[in-house]
Amino acid sequence: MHTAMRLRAALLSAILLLAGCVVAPPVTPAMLATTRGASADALNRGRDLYGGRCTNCHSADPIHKYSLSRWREITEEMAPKAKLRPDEKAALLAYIEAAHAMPKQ
Amino acid sequence: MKIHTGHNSLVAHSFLAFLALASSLSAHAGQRRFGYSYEVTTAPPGAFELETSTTWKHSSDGDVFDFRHELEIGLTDHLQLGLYLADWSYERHDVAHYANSGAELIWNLSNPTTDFLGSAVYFEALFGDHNLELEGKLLLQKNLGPVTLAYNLILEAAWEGHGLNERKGEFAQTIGVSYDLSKHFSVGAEFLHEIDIPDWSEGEKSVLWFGPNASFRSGRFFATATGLFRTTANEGEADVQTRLIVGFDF
Repeated sequence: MHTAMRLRAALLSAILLLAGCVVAPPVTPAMLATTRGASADALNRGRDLYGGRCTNCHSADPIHKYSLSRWREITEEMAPKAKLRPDEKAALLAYIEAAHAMPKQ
Repeated sequence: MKIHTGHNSLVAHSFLAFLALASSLSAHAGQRRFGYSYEVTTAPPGAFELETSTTWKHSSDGDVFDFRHELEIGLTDHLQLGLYLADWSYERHDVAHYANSGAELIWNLSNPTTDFLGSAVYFEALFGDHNLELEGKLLLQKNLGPVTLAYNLILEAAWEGHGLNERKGEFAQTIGVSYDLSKHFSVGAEFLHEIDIPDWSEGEKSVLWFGPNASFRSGRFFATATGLFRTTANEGEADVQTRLIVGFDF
């Protein structure tokens, strides 16, 4: 009985984690290596904005749903609406570009 | 369960009118997907939003309309202040009654998309004419793609009457599920469970409500409507309650 409950809890945790990772993959050394000088802090900040500020208004789309040029347009369009400061916009774009460079999960 | 057909029809028509209004508008606002459940994300620093909430409760005792006017202010990335300018109510054949004013603070602790579980804590204090209320909430949320799951655990303590010597409390919890049909529109359902604790002694019988909700946002505007139907037999509790929240982002 306890084993079944533990299995269910583990399965639920895996689904929740997977859902978060698919929509906004975590910052890894491999992802960091694809950037042109962005720091891990900036990428993590961008990821936090992607999964937090953006989802104030709508659900977060998977990174690979749009091309990078489309993401740049979207970020330009949405930044004033999400009240992103220039450094936040840069961090968000850096994260999207880095995540986009990674293989689709 | 006691539901009057006439009110069902009214709720259905109100809902259709809301959907029609929503679809006639074009599309950015911080928004609430739920009428009764709070989400864990907070307004960006420097953001101002005016929200008006209208709750209609129908019971065997009659109809009551509760109104709340709130100014929400994003203080930091993870802290939001809400100022309740005035809570007031109106009962049929009666005049409007001012109830109280107050403030709330929401402190976001984790991200609902990128963390295992989004969470926040909520504190509220209301002061009125012969009443004082304190409320605390634990807010949990998980975003799974277009699906948002929210859970609120609520504890409330109130002091009323001359000298504030009448005490009462309430335990409540809400669950909300919402699905984003588009960037502008989401639909879902909410569940509300309340237990009144008069005089902070023994809890009364549980009351459960369940019903649909829909949310629309366009530009700086959002509107969220929830209709809840009581699913337990409780004398004196609302058979039906609906809440419409309209927000405008400055």
